[in-house]
Amino acid sequence: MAKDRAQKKSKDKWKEKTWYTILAPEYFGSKEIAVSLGSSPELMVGRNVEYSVSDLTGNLKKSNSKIVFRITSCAGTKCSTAFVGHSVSDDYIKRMVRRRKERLDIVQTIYSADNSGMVCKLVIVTDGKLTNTKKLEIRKCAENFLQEKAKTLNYGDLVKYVIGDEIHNDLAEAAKNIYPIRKIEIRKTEAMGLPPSVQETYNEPPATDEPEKLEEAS
Amino acid sequence: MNKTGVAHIFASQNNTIIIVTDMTGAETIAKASGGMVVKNDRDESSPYAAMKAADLISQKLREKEISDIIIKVRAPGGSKSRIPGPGAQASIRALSRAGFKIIRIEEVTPVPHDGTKKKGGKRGRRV
Repeated sequence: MAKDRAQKKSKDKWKEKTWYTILAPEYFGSKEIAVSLGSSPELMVGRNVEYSVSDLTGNLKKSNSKIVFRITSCAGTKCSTAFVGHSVSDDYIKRMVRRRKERLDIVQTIYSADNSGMVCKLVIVTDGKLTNTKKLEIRKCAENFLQEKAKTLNYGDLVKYVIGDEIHNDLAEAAKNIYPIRKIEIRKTEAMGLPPSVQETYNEPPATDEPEKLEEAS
Repeated sequence: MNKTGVAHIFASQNNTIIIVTDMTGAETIAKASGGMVVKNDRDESSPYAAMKAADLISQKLREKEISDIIIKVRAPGGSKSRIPGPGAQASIRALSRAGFKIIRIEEVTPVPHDGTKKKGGKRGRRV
């Protein structure tokens, strides 16, 4: 029994695996973002890759943000991906908010021109304490702005807009007549499923064979 | 493109565990812990054990031709300590001395937004 186990362990799985190149979505110029290894292309589908926004876009101000892509298909050794979401580090958000400043949190679902949705989570920091009326006004203003802006952009442009710099200035400009805005940050976005163009080609990853492994071990 | 690994370093007061995965986190490339390189249980979390574990890791990574690494350090977190143990710094230093290109170092200790009560009772742990 012990010998059988030893023989099973000695099998070198490393040599069976090959390296796959993971590409960013087309709207990021299909840039090579990482290499990953796997035993078959089907097993690559469904994996998530985390990548720094500053490395992706070259914008050094965005070193606190990370973007997540999911592998949707694999042809040869090239894996194509779709946007899953992005997030800004919690400690950066914590540093933004100080005493005698107001923090407004907004969670809004927005839809692009091609009807792909994403949940957008905003943090707005104002220069002083606010009354509830002002808070409500700022919130409404930001929500309306985001929804209207999203409708004018297709999905790829919306993703780039949300992780870029412009959105901060645009939002601050829209809300500045209500109360001076100190800082605005999109702290998180979450894609609502895959965009329709990707869904057609997306095959669910095969079920893992973990139960069988457990039986072998026992 | 350079082959990049992600080194997940878990440093507690009782041990240091290093696991290197690929960028997706789905494939483990190498793993080592303080307990694998020292004899006494009390030494598992020591900087020396962390250094030795990192040496083991770097040996395995060289065999597998990994040249770049992203380091993610964490403490136990949650309702437990949020300060990484003594092995964290030693293992990072050993990995950088081993000649790997360190792309970035991240602190990924899990911090609850609203967690459960810390163990030890109302009056704390009485030693």
